[in-house]
Amino acid sequence: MTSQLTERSIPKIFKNEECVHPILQVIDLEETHSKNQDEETVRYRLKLSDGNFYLLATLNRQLNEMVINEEIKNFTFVKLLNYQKTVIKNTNFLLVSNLESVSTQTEKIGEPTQFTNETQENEIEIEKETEKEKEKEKEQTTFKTQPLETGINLLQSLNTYNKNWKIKVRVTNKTEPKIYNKNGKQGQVMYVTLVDSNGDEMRATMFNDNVTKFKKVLQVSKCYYISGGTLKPADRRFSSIQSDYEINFNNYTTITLCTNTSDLPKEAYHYKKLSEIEKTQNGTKIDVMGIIAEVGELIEVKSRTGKQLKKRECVLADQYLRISCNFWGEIAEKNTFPGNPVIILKEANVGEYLNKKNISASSAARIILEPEINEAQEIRDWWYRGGGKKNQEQLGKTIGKSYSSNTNWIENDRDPLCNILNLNLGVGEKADYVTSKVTITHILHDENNPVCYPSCTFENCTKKVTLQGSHWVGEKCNHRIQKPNYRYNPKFRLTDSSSSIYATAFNQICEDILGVKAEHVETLKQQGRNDEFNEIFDKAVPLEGLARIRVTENEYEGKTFKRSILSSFKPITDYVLESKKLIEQINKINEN
Amino acid sequence: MSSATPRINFKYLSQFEGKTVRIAGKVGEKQGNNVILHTTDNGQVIVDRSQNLKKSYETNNVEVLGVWKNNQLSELTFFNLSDNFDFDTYNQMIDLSMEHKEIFM
Repeated sequence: MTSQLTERSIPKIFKNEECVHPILQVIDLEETHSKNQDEETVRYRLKLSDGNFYLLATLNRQLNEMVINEEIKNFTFVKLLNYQKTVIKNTNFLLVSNLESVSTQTEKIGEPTQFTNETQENEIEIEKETEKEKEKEKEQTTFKTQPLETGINLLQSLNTYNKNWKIKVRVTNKTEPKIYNKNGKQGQVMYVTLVDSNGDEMRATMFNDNVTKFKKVLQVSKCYYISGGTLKPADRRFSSIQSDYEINFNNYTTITLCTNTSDLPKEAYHYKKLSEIEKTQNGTKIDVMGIIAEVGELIEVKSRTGKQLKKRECVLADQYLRISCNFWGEIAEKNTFPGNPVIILKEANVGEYLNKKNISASSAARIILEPEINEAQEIRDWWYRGGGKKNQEQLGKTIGKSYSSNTNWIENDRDPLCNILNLNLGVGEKADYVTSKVTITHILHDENNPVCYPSCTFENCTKKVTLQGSHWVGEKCNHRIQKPNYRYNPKFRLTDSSSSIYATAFNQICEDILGVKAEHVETLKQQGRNDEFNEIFDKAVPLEGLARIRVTENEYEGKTFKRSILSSFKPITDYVLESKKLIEQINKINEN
Repeated sequence: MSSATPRINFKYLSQFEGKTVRIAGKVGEKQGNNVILHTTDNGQVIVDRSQNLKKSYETNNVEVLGVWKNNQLSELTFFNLSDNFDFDTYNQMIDLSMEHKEIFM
């Protein structure tokens, strides 16, 4: 079993020596989550070992599926086909863009240690001994596939400080050269979209002579090595690509065709959910995925300037929302969308009409028909199960259902908690309210989560007060008092079958649920009677009931997050009635 | 792997020959060690109480847990149910859970 792992491959990789498709063992495979502009990325980190040493590695997102379907798991032997070595914070990392599973194993081979610069020095001696064996091996084996690429930079590593970069990319989109007038002079501009082996996209522009130079060279779906050019910040008005930079191809740029394309993806499946459109600024571009639920006829519309424009009005939908999607010009003429295809629409314009958001696609936009990814399949499955029809009555936020304040909230249709994120509630000027059937599974009451606060005692004032000298003073109300009241404001964990959220609950609700006043709880805490304190919160849960939740969106350190407040709670007391209601809901699902 | 004892009704009994099940119903006539249980879907089940005679039913509605064999439910234990037990809703629940067996059994 040990002989299967390619000996001494880790030191070789570390030293950038030739090492063709080594077989290594996966150790300590772990999942990491990171958020980037509201999109959560799952990445897999691991150690690759040759039995003696290991290096830290990260899998390219494209390979995530191999972990999910267990083709790659801990101890698996893998054949490394393509990777890039980078140094982050003095640690060597392998960014793996292609590998193959060789065999699953049940235990770690040897006791490998991390290969670092120090280890390297000790290795020279041992290397000399095994050199002879290596020579024999090389003569016997034949290499079918190409050696690994070195010296290629990933798009995400490009920055304005290092000008000596070289990228290997596939062109996924190219616009026709456009002529423009500036200060009396005429110029031309062309844009291309590039994708690299890591699946990241970047836009490149070129002007005037460089358009002439490169317009025949650069072809869509072909791959190139490119170096030289300037980086500038990306302009979201003209591009939906989620890259911080754009490249400008200038007189220093060299572009050569590349035939070794196995590590470059055919497409970059970046897109946002339809629910993101609501909070996207009008006039910017977005990539979205949805199913063409309705297709209109090709019609002719007169523009403001008197031009005759071709237009096709469609409806794009997913499991939660429908949105008006209008195609213009050539893209409208060419596409009739037979059979309700799922599409990724890239570079669509976000707009608004009569207070409802819409998207439009013209010559700059691009359609990927029936993308081969899981999320597209999910939309397809939902559609074939009759999802589209149900959608017409039970629509998302943009049409139909109301999430505004309502005194008869108990009778409202219930939303599963996951809808708070899926329908992107709380982003508007007014708060959104949802009714959900939930279970209070926990009430936070540890040292980091105080359950109550000292409050002002002035009539109708419940603002927080702080001790200043011998008096308590309200930070916001400026009232001075001798002794504060205590009012509850703990976080409740609300759970239902779809999701779990934290919601803050205030005084009245807590008194009803806990059965004691905040004053009492505060006294217990101050007297160190922790067992009694904890018991009050532990025995109140779990509690099932109807919750009225107020949702808003806040910003903190540049990131937005949902803030939920439990504004009312009605515990379930009549189980028979609730059972009947559940049966009613189940039957509704079965009808469709 | 052990799973929970399935809750069933009269119409599903044939699928559970030899198995341990739970059935709820109204307590009917006594015949020696046997009791008739009137199930929520209007069936009649003969419950053999000989293994559990020490305990008596305290209410008019009970749920019996036992082994269904040879047209008899051999009681292992039972649970008292309230007098205003809603048989209709319970019956609908059993039907739904049998429809979606993969979730409940």
